Amino acid sequence: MAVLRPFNKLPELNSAVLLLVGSEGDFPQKLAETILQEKRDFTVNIHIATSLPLPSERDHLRPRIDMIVFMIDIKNKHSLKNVEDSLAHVDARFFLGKVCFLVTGVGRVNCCSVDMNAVWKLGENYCSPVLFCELELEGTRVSTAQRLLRMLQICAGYVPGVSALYFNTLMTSFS
Amino acid sequence: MQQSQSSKTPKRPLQLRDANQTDLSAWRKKGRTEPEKSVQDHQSPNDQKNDNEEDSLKQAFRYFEEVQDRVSLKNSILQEHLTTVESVALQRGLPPEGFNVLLNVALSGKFADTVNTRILKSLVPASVIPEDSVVSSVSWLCVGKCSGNVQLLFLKWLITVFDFIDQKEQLNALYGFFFSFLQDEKMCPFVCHLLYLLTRKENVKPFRVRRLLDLQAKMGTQSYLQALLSVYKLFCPELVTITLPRKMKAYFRDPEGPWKAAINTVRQRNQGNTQVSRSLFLGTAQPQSQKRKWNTQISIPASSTNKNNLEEDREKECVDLYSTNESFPVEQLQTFSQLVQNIHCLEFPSQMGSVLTNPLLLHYMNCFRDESVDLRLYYWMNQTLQQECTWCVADNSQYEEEFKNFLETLYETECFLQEGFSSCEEFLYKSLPLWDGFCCRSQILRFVSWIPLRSSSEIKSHLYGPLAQLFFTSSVYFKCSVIESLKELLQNWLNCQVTHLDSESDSEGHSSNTTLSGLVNMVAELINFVGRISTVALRLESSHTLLLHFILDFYETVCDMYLRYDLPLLIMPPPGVFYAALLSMDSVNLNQLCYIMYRYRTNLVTAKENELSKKKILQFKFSNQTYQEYNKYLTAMVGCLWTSNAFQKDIHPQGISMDDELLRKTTVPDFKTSFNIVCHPALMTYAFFYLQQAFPDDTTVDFSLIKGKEWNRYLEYLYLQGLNGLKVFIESSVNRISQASHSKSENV
Amino acid sequence: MAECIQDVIGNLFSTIDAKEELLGECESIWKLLEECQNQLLLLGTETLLKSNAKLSLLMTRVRALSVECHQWQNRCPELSSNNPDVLVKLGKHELQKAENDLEMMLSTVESKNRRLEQDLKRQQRWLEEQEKIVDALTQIEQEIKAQVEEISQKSWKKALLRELQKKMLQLKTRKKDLLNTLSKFLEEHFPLPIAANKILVSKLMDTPHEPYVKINDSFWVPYIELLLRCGVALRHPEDPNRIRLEAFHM
Repeated sequence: MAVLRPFNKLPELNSAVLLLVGSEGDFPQKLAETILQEKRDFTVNIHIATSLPLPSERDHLRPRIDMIVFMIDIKNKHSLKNVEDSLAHVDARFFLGKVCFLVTGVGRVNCCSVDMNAVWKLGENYCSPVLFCELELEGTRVSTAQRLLRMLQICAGYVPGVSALYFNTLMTSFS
Repeated sequence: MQQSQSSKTPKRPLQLRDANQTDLSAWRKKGRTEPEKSVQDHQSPNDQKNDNEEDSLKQAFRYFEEVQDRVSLKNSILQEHLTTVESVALQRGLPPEGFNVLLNVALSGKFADTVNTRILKSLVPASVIPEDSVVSSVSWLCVGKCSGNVQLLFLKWLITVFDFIDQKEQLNALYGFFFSFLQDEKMCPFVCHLLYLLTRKENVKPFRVRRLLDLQAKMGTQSYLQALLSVYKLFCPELVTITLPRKMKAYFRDPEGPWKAAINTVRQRNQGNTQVSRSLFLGTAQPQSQKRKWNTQISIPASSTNKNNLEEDREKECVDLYSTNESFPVEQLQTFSQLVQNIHCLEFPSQMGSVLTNPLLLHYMNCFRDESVDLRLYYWMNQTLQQECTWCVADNSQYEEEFKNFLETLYETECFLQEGFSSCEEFLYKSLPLWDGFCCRSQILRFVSWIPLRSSSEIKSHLYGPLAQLFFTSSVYFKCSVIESLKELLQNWLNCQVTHLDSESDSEGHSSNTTLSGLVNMVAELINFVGRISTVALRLESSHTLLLHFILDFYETVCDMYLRYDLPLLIMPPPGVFYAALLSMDSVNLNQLCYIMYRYRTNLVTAKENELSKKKILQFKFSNQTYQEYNKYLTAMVGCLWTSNAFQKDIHPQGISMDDELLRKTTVPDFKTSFNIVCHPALMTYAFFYLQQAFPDDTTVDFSLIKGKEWNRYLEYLYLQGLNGLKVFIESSVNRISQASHSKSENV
Repeated sequence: MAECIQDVIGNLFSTIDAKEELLGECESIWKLLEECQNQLLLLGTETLLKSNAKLSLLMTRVRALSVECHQWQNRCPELSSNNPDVLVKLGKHELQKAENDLEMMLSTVESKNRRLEQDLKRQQRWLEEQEKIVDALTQIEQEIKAQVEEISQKSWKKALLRELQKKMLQLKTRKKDLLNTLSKFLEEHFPLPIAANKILVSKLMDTPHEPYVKINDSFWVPYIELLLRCGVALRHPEDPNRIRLEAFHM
């Protein structure tokens, strides 16, 4: 199946799965490592892909994905294009709270080749929150990892009374 | 060691960065013999290196001073000296004496442009720059012997190191000369920037205004011209009659150049050796740690001319006391008594940023606050905050500590002046969406608490939006900090309102931008926002005790708004907060909830009395809806704590009423009377200890023993344990019908 | 003895009961989950077109949110468990959590108190200093008032007049000095008809309403150019042959 679907498999007990989609060097790797170092009481599996669609040979091995994080590097025009193309391979139901955009590179304003407005527009069109991070700096990376972990916890359903959709509505309704 | 000129001395440039400096002959130049620096002296290698450097530097200066005619670029001696100067400059900065020589050489056109450029680029000050050198270099500028590029570079350098020039009196006297350079189109932006820094009130003349307007007509509206015109307008508004944009984002482009980075490096190296300025704190000396450009204190000049000026001032004061135009030189302000004596003739320093770290000047600013001060401070703060923000500019991450200190200083100044800076507010709006919630966290959150009470539409999208996003995804401690700073924001707004009311009653001319209804709207919006996010947060963190404590703190401020701050607004907490506190597991939060409900009652009762007595003509009254809401909560609470029928009588739509069927399923015997002040989970431990105290021989724990007389004694016991909120709530809201037949001490 | 054993066995059974009860609950929930999953698999996939992503997404969200809301409205409170062991365990857990939280709250409140004390001291100090300043300012105000009264007396006026005259004299001598130095300077560096300069200056001073001077060839042209370029002199707006001196003193 070329399109990612949110509920195509049964979930595993006490675990959550995160998918990082982005084409930047080893940033996804570093972020994944930082996330796995955080203290938590459920197991986390992180899958990394440079773009969608995912290769279909490994479909049966892949568990149900709880949250997708699209990583956009502001210094690189192709990164945004890549993400936009990948979005077409995601089922619409994912956007009911299980998608998030992570933008890196804002600290180097001089090398921006992507307009910030385009990123905000993307977040608005797909009703998903946009987070910012400078992945080279450790402190920021750790705190972003913690935030993603909390969002993952909600998307996987480990917070009673708060569904992913409800949380998403909160994140996008105050501005 | 031999000191003769050894032919084997290299034409190689001096390697000052080499750790090994054993070859003394390496720094012989021009065959001069120098007194020997014997290695056998017990000097430490560092000292020796410093001495070597100083000597070679002195030689370089001497060379530049004495060189007469044009020397070709290939001259190795010239290159050597140039490299000496450059390397010393980049490491430690140049001493003040060197500037005269170097500036004269660079601007007099003796050497080619490349040499001049290199010299100018290495003019990094170690401490101060003497004014005379700058004055003489300006005279060279006027003569115009150097090329246009060198002139531009000189201007850029002057702007960057402006704070380091020790006095600016003579420089101000040259104002007219600088002004005449405006004609040159290339130099115009930099000259405008320089004039912006130099301008004082006496420099604003009508012909200068006319000249600027002509230039503007010729070149179009340029931001630098507008900046200079706005400064003129502030000093003498009657001379500049055109309208100018109120606040522009960036007047001047930053003059790029290697000096800033070099100055920072030098500062860091000289960490232990700062001797620039003594501390100006009242009386007590405090050690000055690493300073950055914005922390420049006003340095106290060593020259004696100022002392003479002071004498003259004193004389003039004797003649005609307060009509002298002489101003007390700000650099000499050291003690509080000096401030008090000369408070009428002080002037602000040209570098407004130094006001922030000088408590004396802060006092002065507090008394004499006008638009020019505001604008200058605004512009400077804007620029500094944008440039040095550590998450907006990734290269600044190593300076995080200093940026934190800077933000702390700004916060303390805001506390002192009891009002927020608009540049801080704008900085918040710009950087909050990009913030990760981690860098400088407490400082940024404290800034949130000083947002001024003016703009209403911006706050919603620029503050509430990003803050909510960060709030929901962060840890429980971050959530607590955010609630705390929002509480302080509310308190600051309310205090501000109260002081405005006071001052308005004194002076009528005071125009307040916010009417009462505008204020009420903004406060209501804030409280509703906090109510919403608190409800969600309690759900996300499953009613975490600490979080609930901070939320209840917030509502403690909210409940008393009518009586304490005279604001006709009463907003009840949302049910998500109320019921979470009512059913909490700890007594602290329950107690606080009781106190809050008691205060709400007092406020409502007073409002009703005022309304009924018609003593004051009220323009408002609390709607019936508010009273109803309060009553619903009150019913639930009394049912929970007193009458043991919480689950039956609660009529609130989001309340805790439950069917009897469900309650029967719990197989709790006598469920209808089992939930009250004795069996409440928060108070059960108190009941247990009370039973132990009252019936020490009874080994079974039977809560039903607490009734009748025991009930009252139990209540007294609870009050003794410090549950004052509970006490006032019960005394005010619960009618004790059966008190007459019981114990004597009742005062309700 | 037998009763003891019965009690112990009773306890054991209830513990086992509790576990089985919980496991049974988990199994039933898992079965529900599998049923829902089967139903979900029957739904097709939908992807979003870039052009109307926002609109279709918002409509989907509206539907989903209203369904969720409806579900929440219909939910009734339920018992979590009736088993006393489970309840005891839960109770202990909650009490332990409350204890930890209260300790954290204690330390937070203590540090808040310390901060408040420091703030109080700071504000008191500021208040004292500001009061001193207010005192000084009121004193200055009184002194100035006293001075004003003095000045209104005639004797002071005469003294003031003398002061002013002295100052005027000083200014005039200074102006003469300046003019002299300026002319010397000009002679040195611009040894050309200074007469023009003098004429301009005197014309401006004498006839402020007619400050224009006609250019004639006796004036050195480049010199005129220099004056114009530096903005010292201005052309007459209509007549290109007349120039005037810029009014520096106004």
